[in-house]
Formats: sequence, structure tokens, C-alpha cells
Amino acid sequence: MSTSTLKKLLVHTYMTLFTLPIIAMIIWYFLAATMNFTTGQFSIDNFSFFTEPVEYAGVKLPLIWPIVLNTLVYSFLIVLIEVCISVPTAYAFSRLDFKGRVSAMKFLFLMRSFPGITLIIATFFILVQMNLVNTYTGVLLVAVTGSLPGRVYIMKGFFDEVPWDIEWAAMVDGCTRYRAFKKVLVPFVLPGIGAISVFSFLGAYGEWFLFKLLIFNDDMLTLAGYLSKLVTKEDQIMNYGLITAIGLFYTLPIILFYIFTQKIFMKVNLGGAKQV
Amino acid sequence: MITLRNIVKEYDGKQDSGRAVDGLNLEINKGEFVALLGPSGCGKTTTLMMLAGLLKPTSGEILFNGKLVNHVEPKDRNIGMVFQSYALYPHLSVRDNIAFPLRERKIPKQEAYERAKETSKILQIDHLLDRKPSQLSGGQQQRVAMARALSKNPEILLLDEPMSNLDARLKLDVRDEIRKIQRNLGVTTIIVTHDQEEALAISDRVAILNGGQIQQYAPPHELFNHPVNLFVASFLGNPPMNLVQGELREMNGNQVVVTEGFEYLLPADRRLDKAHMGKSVKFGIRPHDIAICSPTDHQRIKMKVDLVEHLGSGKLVKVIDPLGKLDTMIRLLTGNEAEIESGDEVYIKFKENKFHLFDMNDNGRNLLQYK
Repeated sequence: MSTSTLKKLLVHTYMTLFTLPIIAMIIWYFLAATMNFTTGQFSIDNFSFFTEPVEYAGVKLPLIWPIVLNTLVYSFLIVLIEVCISVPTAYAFSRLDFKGRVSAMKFLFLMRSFPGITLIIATFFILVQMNLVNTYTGVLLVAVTGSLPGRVYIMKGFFDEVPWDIEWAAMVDGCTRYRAFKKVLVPFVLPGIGAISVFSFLGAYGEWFLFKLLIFNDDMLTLAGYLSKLVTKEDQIMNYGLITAIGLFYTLPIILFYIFTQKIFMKVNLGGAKQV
Repeated sequence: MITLRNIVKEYDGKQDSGRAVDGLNLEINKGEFVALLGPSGCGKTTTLMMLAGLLKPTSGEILFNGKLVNHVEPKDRNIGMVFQSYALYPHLSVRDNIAFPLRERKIPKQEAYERAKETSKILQIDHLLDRKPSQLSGGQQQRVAMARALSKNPEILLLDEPMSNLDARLKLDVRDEIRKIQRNLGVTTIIVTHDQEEALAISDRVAILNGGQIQQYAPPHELFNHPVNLFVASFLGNPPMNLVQGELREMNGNQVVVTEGFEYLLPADRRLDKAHMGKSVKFGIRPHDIAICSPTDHQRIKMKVDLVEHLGSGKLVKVIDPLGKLDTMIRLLTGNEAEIESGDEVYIKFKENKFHLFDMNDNGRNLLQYK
């Protein structure tokens, strides 16, 4: 056996050993959802949540489909708001020279590193004062405020990468500053916009804490909050089959979304400007 | 016609310290090809950016055809510009890149594409119209950038180091082509470059900049043969001009430059004003204006050959003072036929009336104004 094959063998053994627990968990996940453990038979009983409201051991939850709709509306709304605010903001931070730019950047960075959870009680009281508790507006406001600094920071990085020459060329070619932004810069930072959209979507899709804190009506929940309701009852009787089944349903769009966006990222090309 | 009057550009609002351009005056005629040449940081790119309208001068006036354009936006100046990085729009095809300035003028798509095709034919890139910029070579990208700048029939074409990313061979071809196209279209063109050979070869007039000021603005041959000051003289030319520290003296009714290694008698028709006597000067002469001569020639200087470099077209000979008193090495150019080796003792002489004298107390001003 040559040294290179030996090396390969070692690497593969090592990697397999470390991946095994993860693979085992995924397999268990699928099995728990699709098997009746007492009989050892394959069953789709756990998926009855598609057709009827969930009810077991004192937990009563509404039918899942309105919740799915909530989730999609909420997630896409978050993506829309965050992209629409962070892209122009990042452009301003990257390209414009205004008073307080540096201190604002520092503040942004501070906000990004600040653990938002420590502010949550104050946030709650403010929302109570504003009569925004138990409303989507309240959740959106808190969620967007928390994540915007990070998004702006990432987007700024993308704008910083765009050579000034490109923007200048557009302005010489007949664009106003705004038109140059729209026609030339935005296409240039499209991968960045894609990236923050993915982050925003995943963040919103996985948001359960704010719903737990600020939303009291079960029929206003999103999937993540819905799922968390299943596991947090005092008597600790867990229906693992049901949880994994709903969990599987919850994960599926993310996997599809990931495969889809990955293709977009691969297609992105950045050429035509040396010295980028 | 373009006129720049007392242009000053300060960055960061700092007074004096941050002056990129410091009182610049320039006139460019319609259809002229002008180069802004200088070392990096001399303010040439800043000047070009102000012409484009991408930077606003701190003070001074920019006039196009007699009209003040200081506050006219770049898009309203009717200029075409080629950037050093080409700055092509990566998400658009070559066709859309070239048609972009036309589409921004609300010219219908069909007509814009038609004109883009015509322009691309001039630059011989009409077979590349469907490609994306990332699929082109550096030379092709450069052509696309030129086509984009020319498609809108600009009144002024601005070129910012357009050839610095091309290899040496391609540079020569592109240079000729840019010149040809410029002549045919008659578009007023301003090129910024740090490559003196390029500037001298391509332009009608060259403005040599240093420290944000124009040192000399003249046709290439005049810059080369009649530099107004030490900066222009030492900046231009490869191999560079020989410069020897000396002093002007009156001896027996003759005016003489006295250096550590030799004394040079000024010819009668080059006599200077008496007021200059005693001044510290740099004696300058270009390598091709020095000849190897016989031991009996008038005004010969005995030298020792230190090094001979073969340039292909001739030989570059570096000679030093055999007595070691002159600490400056002198370079001279000879033909290939000259049989010369390092260690030889030779006599050199300066060709008549080819020397320059730079006044060291007056920023290196040339005391001799040949006309």
C-alpha cells in the first residue's frame, strides 16, 4: 500500500468516525417520525397533524396550515424589510461622507456584538407602553431592530468591495448617483443581497423566542413557536413521534431553500473589472 | 476648447498640506490630444477627475467652450471616460455595456444597439457583443471600455492610464489604434499616464506635472529638447540626462562652467547675463549628445570606461573620471560599431549647443532658452 492511499484511508476513517454520530441522529430523527416504537412497525400516524389540530396530554394547538401561512408571511416580510433598509443604509456607510459616519459605524458594531436578550425586559415594557404586545407589528419591530446592525455590517462589506471606478463610470455614462446605485451597484452586490436574504429568512423562520414572549394567541404563532409549545409543558410527557414528525415538516423547506439558493450562489460571476 | 484657470484641489479641507492640485492652468484646443504626465501623486488623476466632474475643484474655474462647468454633473458634460480598471459592468453583456450610455440618454433600444454595433466595428470587437466582460481577455476588455466611452460621440474623451494593464507588445498596438481613432473622430482627448514614452508618442502636447503644478506644457520634441527646468529635464528621457554639479565663472573674458572634473567653455553665442556669474548650477546633457572623440579635439574630456551595456540598437557607455575627482558617472550612447570595453581610457566631447544649465537657486530653472 502506498503512503498516499494510507493517508487517504486514515483521513476517511477519521472523518467517518466523527460523522457517524451526526448521521445516527439524522437516522433516528427519520425513524422516530415514521415508526411506531412499541410495535416496530412503519406508521404515518404521527403525520395526522396535517389534517387535525394537535391535542395530547393537555396541549391543545390549532391546525398547522394557518400556522404555515403565518410563518411564510412573517419570514418573507422580515426578508423584505431587512433588505430594503439594510442595502441603502450599507451603501450610505460605504460610499457617502456624512457627519457622524464613523461614530455611527462604531455604534452599529456595538449593537451587533451586544447580546440582545439582556434588553428583552426593557423591550417588553416599551412594547406594553406602545400597545404593541401581542401584535405582529411588535414582533417585527423587535426582530428587525435586533438583526439590522448585522445585516448592514455584512452589506457594507459587499459595497466596500465595489470599485469606485464602476460607480464613476456609470455617472460619466449618464447616471445620477441614485441611478448608478440602482443600475450598476445593486447588480454588483446581488450576491450580498442574496446572502443577507438567506440569513434573514433563516433567522425569521427559526424565531420562536419573540413569539413566546410577545404573542399570547396560539393561532398567531409561526412554526418555530408552534414546535416549542409542544416541548414545554410542565408534566413533561413528550410525544417524540409527533415532535419529530412536525420537526421533519419544519426542516424540509429549509433543506429545499438551501439547495435552491446554493445554485444561485454558484451562478454568480464577478468579472469585468480587474483590480476588484 | 477646455480651459483650466487657477485650479486648486484640497482633500479633507486641509489647508496647504493636502493640496493635490495647486494653481493649475491649462488650455486644450478642440480636437487636440493632450497627455498629463508626471510621477505618482503629482495630481494628474485628480485633474482628470475634475474634468470629468467626479471631483469638484476647491477653487478655480473649469470652462468647456467658454462656459463654466464647475458645478455641471458628470452626466451632463458629454464626456467619455476609460478607467484604468476598465470598470465594465460585469452583469451586462458587451453589447449592453457599449449601449449603456445611449440607453441612459433615452435612446430606443433598437437604435442604441445599432450604434453600439457600429462603434464595436471601429474597435474590431463586433464578434464579442454577446459575451460577458468576464469572458474577455484584458486587451478585449480595454477595447470594450473604449467603445463604451466613444459610443455616445462625446465631445471630450478622458483616458485614465488606459494601457497600464496591458502587456508591452499589446500596448504599442493599442497606442497606435487609439491615436488613429482619435484622429478620425476628431474628439478632444486627454490621457493621464506615468509612462513618458506613451505620452510623448501619442499626444500633440504634453503637460508635465509635479507637486500639483504644471512644470511645462509643450509639444513632445520641445519638452525633450528645451526643458524649462531641472524637473522636466530629469523626468524625461531614458537613459536619463546627465546632470553634473558646477559653478558659473568668468575666466579671461570667457564664461565657463567649472565642475569637479572638467571645465566647459560656453560658446560665444550662448553667453549669459553677467548677473548669473558665480551661481551654482547643474550642467545637463543627454547621453546621445555626448560623443567619443579623438585626443586632439577641442573641449575634450578624458574619461575611463566603467561599464558598457548593450541595448541592441547601440551601446550605453558609463564613464567615470579617471582621477576620481568627479563623483558623478556620465552616461553616453554610441553605435554598435564603436569598439569599447570597460577599463578603456577615452576622450569625450559634448555636441555643440546641446547642453543645459539649471539654476540651483531658482528651483532648477533652465538658464538657456533655445529657440
